[in-house]
Amino acid sequence: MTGLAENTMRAEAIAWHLQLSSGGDADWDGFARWLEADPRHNDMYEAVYDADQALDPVAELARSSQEPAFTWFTPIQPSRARRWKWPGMAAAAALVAFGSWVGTGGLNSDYAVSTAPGEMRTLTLSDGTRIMLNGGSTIELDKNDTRVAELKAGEAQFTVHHDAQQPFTLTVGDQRIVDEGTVFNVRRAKSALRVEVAEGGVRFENGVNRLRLTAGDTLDASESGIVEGAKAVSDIGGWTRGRLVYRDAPLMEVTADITRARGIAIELGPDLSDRRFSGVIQLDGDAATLQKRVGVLLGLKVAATADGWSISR
Amino acid sequence: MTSDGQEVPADAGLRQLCLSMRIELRRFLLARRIGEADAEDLLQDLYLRVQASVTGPVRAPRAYLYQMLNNMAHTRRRTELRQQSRDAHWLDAPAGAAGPDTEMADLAPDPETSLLARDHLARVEARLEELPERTAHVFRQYRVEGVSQKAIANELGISLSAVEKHLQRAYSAVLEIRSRLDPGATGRTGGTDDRAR
Repeated sequence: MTGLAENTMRAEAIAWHLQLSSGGDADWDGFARWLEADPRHNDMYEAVYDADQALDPVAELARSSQEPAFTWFTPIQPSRARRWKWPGMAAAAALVAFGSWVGTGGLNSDYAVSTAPGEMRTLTLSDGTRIMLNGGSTIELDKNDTRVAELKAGEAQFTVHHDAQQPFTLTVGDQRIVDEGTVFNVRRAKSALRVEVAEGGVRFENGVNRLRLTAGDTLDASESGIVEGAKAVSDIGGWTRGRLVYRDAPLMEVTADITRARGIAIELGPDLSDRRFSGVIQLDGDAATLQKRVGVLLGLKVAATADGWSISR
Repeated sequence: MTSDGQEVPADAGLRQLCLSMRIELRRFLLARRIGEADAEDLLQDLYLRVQASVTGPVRAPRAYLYQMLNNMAHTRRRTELRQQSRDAHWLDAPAGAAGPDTEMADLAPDPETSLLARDHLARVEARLEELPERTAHVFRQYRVEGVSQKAIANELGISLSAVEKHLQRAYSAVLEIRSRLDPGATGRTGGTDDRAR
């Protein structure tokens, strides 16, 4: 029954199944050819697909199970999550190198635009570049040069008018994001930067490394290093369309996003700090409606306090 | 204002692509062992779905259409199998049990389902323990935490093909559990109703 041929076929079916989850055009062509080569291939592929799908409730259980008997949880150790380290010396050198570039404030053509939590603004620069500024954010622009901007705090989405001769460059601390014809979203937290590219591409630079990101790529940069990832393009910059989309995101991130977008201060129970959430949160409606909705979605108690919400089990 | 306009051409472009790829997609469905009439049906369905569900620009439109169609073909086949087994159980099933809402009921977690999931998890867990630690880690990251293969490669500082090898090995081991649990899972009978006893 489990002959050599069947094992080979099965291994091939698994390989296709894995490859197709992020497959490009060539993969699908190859897959179609493989299916046509032998009618049993499709049966094998379907069996693998079924069996993998049958793992959904298992994975769900593993994710939510609090029983210590299940040891599925292997949190990413911060030290292992590093793609490369960026030594303090190099970072300092980068600061010096970009120092003069960043410090154009002395020319006095800079101006800052800030939003209060819950307030969103759209800025259109004279060259057609559009910047949507989320709540609780500050961006610094230059009157004399529409091709530079600095995100001081918060989050913004950029729809850039592309000019290859003079690419639009966003500075975040000592890191730079250089447009290559693009729509991208940038969020700056205390010491962490997140870049998500919805369309086209950007170049990320921090004085030590250069990375190219294209549509669907994400990048997290913090002092401990850089981690690249992927995100569905349709989910990027959801806040600009009044919805927040998460796939296994820490609850801290979710509450920070709500605070920024709606101006509601949120206190998170200490035992919830490592809890994660997947799903979509619509941001519309009044605060009470949103409060109820968030409670249901997170499966947690959301209580109104004097200055916002308190979330607990 | 300009960026709002970008999504429309991307969307219309996808519909256009759907039409121009019709022959190739139909051939794909036949390779996926979907009958001729069903294939036409699915292609029509795909066109409507593209119209209804795509909201933003798509990175690799051709692969995107294939992906959608592939999932639809899989769902179609499962629904058919479920229908068949329902028909087979028709005589012993209580009245109304095979009504249109049975499918919804299938999706809701009931105590029996979670018991099965628990049992399945324990077996998977045991199997993973027999594998090298890194292989098990890669599998958990991918299948439980939903981390992309690319991100796992970055996390561990290994190549994408190395991640694939770990996953291939883990999947071979873990999916086997399923076939042992439910002998019908390999081949065409599929395991649509573990809970049918």
